[in-house]
Amino acid sequence: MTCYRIAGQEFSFPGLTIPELSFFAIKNPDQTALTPDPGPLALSCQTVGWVGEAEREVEVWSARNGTLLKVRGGSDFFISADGSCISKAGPQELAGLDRDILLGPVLVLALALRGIWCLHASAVMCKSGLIVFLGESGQGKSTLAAYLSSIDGRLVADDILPITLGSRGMQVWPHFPQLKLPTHVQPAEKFPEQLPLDQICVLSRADMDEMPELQLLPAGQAVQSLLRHTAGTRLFDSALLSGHLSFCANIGRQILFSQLVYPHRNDALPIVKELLEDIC
Amino acid sequence: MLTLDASLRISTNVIFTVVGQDAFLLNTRTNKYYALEEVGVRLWELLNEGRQLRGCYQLLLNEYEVDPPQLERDILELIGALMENGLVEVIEE
Repeated sequence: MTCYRIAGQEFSFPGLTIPELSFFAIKNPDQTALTPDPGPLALSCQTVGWVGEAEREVEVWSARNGTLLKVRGGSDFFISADGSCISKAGPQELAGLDRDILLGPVLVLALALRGIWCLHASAVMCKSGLIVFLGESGQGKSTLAAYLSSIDGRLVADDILPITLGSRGMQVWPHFPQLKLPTHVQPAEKFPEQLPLDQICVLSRADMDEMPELQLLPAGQAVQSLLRHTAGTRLFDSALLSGHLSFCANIGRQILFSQLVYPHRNDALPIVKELLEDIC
Repeated sequence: MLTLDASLRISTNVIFTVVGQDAFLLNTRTNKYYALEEVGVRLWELLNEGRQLRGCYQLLLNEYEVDPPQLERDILELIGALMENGLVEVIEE
């Protein structure tokens, strides 16, 4: 059976072939399909999430041996308790929406179960180090990452970025499928499995007649940004949220964040680049 | 009506962590995060020590340069929000 190594973790998807993950494929014959125990399922979360370019109803059900994720309009997926095995209910083919579910909330939840949190972020490896950009949609994460990678940087992520904090400090895990990018320009192939993270920069948009500004962000606001920009938290149960809060608080205590406010006009981008070089 | 003489306790389903001057709360029953700023953090810490609300008010009055009626209004407003979100409970006499 084909297994995959994603964000430094091994996953099996019994019966499924996933072309988007071909770069991450490894051979591991020991995994078998897993389905929920026949015991009772308990609804642990009911929410609405952005999946497959639309808002959809999402339900998370807890079973004795794992978690069942249901997204309206798509197939159900079951994640083993340790997050390592992901099974699809019904026919073993992936329809268009199934791909978005599997490579989006399912993978994000499975990684969280293994202590790896996924940020909604873009990231660029510059000469001086790795910069991660956080911000609401439309604040310029992708634009800035594309600009910097077109000058002298390399794009690391443009949607979802797995991240950990451990004995080696803060690390990002670029081996993760970036659904916003075409298959032939996936950044994962250009990078090792993990990279040290040097800077986190929270973006917001300035008025068009203003100049870009970069300043340090107080620790509390840094934590709020991490809490807000972590993917999939609405799917987490209280145990996962507790771990997530602890993770964000530890990063806020240990890492300096910056806030970059810049107007979305082309002549501002070189100034932004200079500002970022000053902090790296 | 909520007054400074209410007996309160922090709900058992709350996880609290301080970062810098801010604090973050997780209600494990609703799975929602909340943030508190400086004075709110201090009030939470005082409640967590088991102090009565009026005792918290007196201490905050000594610690911050603030108009007493304004402090009372701010405390009651914050406590009301904390109660609404299941983070603090009234102890029934």
